[in-house]
Amino acid sequence: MDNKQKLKEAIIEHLNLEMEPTEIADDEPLFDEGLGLDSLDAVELVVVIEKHFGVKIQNMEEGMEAFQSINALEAFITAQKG
Amino acid sequence: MTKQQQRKKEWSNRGIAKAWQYGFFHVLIKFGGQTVPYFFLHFVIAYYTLFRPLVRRRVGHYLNRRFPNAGFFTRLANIYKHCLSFGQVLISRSAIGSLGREKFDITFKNKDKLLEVLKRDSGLMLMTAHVGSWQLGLSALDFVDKPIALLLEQQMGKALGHMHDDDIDQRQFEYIDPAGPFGGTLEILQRLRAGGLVSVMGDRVYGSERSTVTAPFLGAIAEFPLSPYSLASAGEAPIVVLLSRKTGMYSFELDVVDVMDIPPGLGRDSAAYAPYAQRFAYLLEEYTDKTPYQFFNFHNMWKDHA
Repeated sequence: MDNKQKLKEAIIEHLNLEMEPTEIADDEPLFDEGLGLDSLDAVELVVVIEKHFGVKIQNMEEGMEAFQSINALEAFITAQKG
Repeated sequence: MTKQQQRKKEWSNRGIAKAWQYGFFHVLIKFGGQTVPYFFLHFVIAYYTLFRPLVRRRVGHYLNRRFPNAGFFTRLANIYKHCLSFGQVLISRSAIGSLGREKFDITFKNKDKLLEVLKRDSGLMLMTAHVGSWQLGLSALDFVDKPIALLLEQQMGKALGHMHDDDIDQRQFEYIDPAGPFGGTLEILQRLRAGGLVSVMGDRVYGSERSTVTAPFLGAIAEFPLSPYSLASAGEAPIVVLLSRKTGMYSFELDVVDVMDIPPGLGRDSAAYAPYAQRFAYLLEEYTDKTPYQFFNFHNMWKDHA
């Protein structure tokens, strides 16, 4: 399973979203007008990324950058692991 | 207007008096202590009680739950007592800055519980509520050797508290802007994980319905914020519940009423946090039994579940 698919499944499971992974587009904004995640979902995303990918988001700036979309998150995880 | 925008509007229009009116009282306090302002306050509150329906409506959300069987005149008397009590807290808050904290007798109940938690190698979530004087409660924590971050816009903090620059020692506080990126949640998480202290209001709902947790409070289901519990879980930080009450013209009491250890990894499901919100609601209810006229949350916490 690639990272993007794993990310989508983890997000749906941990954030209690009632949807399928295929319904999340790779470039869709995760917050506000996109997937509609809120500020507490951001906290949970930090936990999800640590738990499933072993990557820590150290500060807000990193989070803001990485939480743009699935593409951005996957790029962030790859960069941190690489 | 969405429910979320409506909530934001309700919380942002909180001031009921004009700046010069607060300034007038501030001058009276500076030169005459609290007795004269207390005297003038009766006339101001009588005016607001009789001629400001908005004030009656805002105070009524809580009073109608706390005193459900009150008749017309009792209800009016309760509004008067409640507003008077609020005014007296505002006067004392300003008086502490003008006259000095040494003029006041501040009792700290269960301080040892807080000291115990401070010894732990973790962050700490200090949860308070719109009761008594939460600003004074926090300012009395000057024995804590770390700054306390408040989830509050700095200017808004002063405006909401109707405080002047000398009212509390601002050096003790840092501010996390709730209107900032992700509502300040990532900053809170970062601070908690770094062993910092963050103070939030346990009865102040932010954000969407998904960010709330419900609990029985004063006979009906009320909404409470999910964020204190969810952040404490993610940040692996205990919650210390600190409530304050005014006990006399020159005396206040602070009380550490609970310490909650929220298990890590509870996730995003609000049901997982409901027992903790219920504990907090129970403590608040207990508080209003003992101090019925010092609950100053003028938001309708019950409307969506009435």
